[in-house]
Amino acid sequence: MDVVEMIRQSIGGLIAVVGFGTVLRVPKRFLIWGGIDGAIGWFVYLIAGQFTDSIILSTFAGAVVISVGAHICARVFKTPVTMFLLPANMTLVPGAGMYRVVYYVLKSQNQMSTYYLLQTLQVAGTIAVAIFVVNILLGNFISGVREIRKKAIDDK
Amino acid sequence: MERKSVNSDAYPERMGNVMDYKLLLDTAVFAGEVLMKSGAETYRVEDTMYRILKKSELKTVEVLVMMTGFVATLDDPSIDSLTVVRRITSRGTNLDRIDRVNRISREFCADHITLDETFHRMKDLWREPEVHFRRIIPMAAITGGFAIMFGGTLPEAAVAAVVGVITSFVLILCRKYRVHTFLENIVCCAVMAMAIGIVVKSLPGTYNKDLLIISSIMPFVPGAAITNAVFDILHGDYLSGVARAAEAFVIAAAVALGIGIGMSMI
Repeated sequence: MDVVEMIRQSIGGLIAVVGFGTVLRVPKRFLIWGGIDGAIGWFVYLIAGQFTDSIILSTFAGAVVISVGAHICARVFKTPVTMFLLPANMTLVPGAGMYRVVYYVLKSQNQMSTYYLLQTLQVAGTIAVAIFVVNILLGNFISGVREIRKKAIDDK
Repeated sequence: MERKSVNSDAYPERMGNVMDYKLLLDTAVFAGEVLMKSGAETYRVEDTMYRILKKSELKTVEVLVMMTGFVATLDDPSIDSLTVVRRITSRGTNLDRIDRVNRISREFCADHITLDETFHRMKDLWREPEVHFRRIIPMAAITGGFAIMFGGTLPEAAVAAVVGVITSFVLILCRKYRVHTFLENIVCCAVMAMAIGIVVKSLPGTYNKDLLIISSIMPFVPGAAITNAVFDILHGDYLSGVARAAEAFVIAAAVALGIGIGMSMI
């Protein structure tokens, strides 16, 4: 896949995330930031897909980037992190896997449907783990910075 | 530290600027109710209510929030204890309201606005009716955008957008007649799958049916429920987290069932 196609897909992701934000009623001034966050996440997902065949690993990379971006936006705008994370995360949520499960059940190919069921659960779990990790690490990082600052002020 | 000792030990000295605790508790309850009905994480509801109640500087401030309701209590040797229980029955997602509650409570906690003003603003927000707004254009943007994102061509994106518009009309009809959410998801996805089946067969040119269906079901995929479930479990609210995860599974099952019905009809 060439870079132009990747950028084209990411722009599609941006449009979709902005639409999602509207449905979830994100305030207008935050819409575009969630969209950019989602687009970057999808771009990273595609890039990671060039280096590995594992859909789990590339989803993890994308989800980490999306959550870090959402946390940064939340700190900058002083608003809950869900404002950006909910719409942006929709790019990685395994909708395709869900569809394939049903499709192969209807074709009565049980092996394939079980495979995709497992994959869907794994992808959903991976997104969860990525959110977990970023949240915990950033929380520790920020409280660490605060302590250092406090110490500096106390020392003065 | 000084203020606290004045509050809990020397009761008469505080009488001069005593806070209206009932009003404070009501403010916190309104904030909590709006947040819960707008689909905020359990942790955020607890945190916001706790911060508002903590402004009273009373000895005991407790808030317990679960997915289906909450309890808040204020107690001190100087007053009779106040407790409020609220049951939450309806839940949706409205991030705008979460943001507004967040801003009001931030201003209040930073002493920018008085308790009276906070109470009235919170109550106005609470009273505000849920607006059933038209989500036709955003739906088209979602389905069309996802079609491009999953590598579709422009004509495919256009078809997906049209299907999104059709589904949003079905969704509006379902909301109008107050169809249960589970049935609503099934009906919408069934109509969507049928519409795609018809389009692929009747329109000239080749369309990737898989891609069209995958991008059109995205508005119904329980991404918000999954994300919120993760946040709840992360903050130790296992009860709410598992409840939300179950919600996600139910929605996913409904969507799957709907696509199955729609695809087998064509």
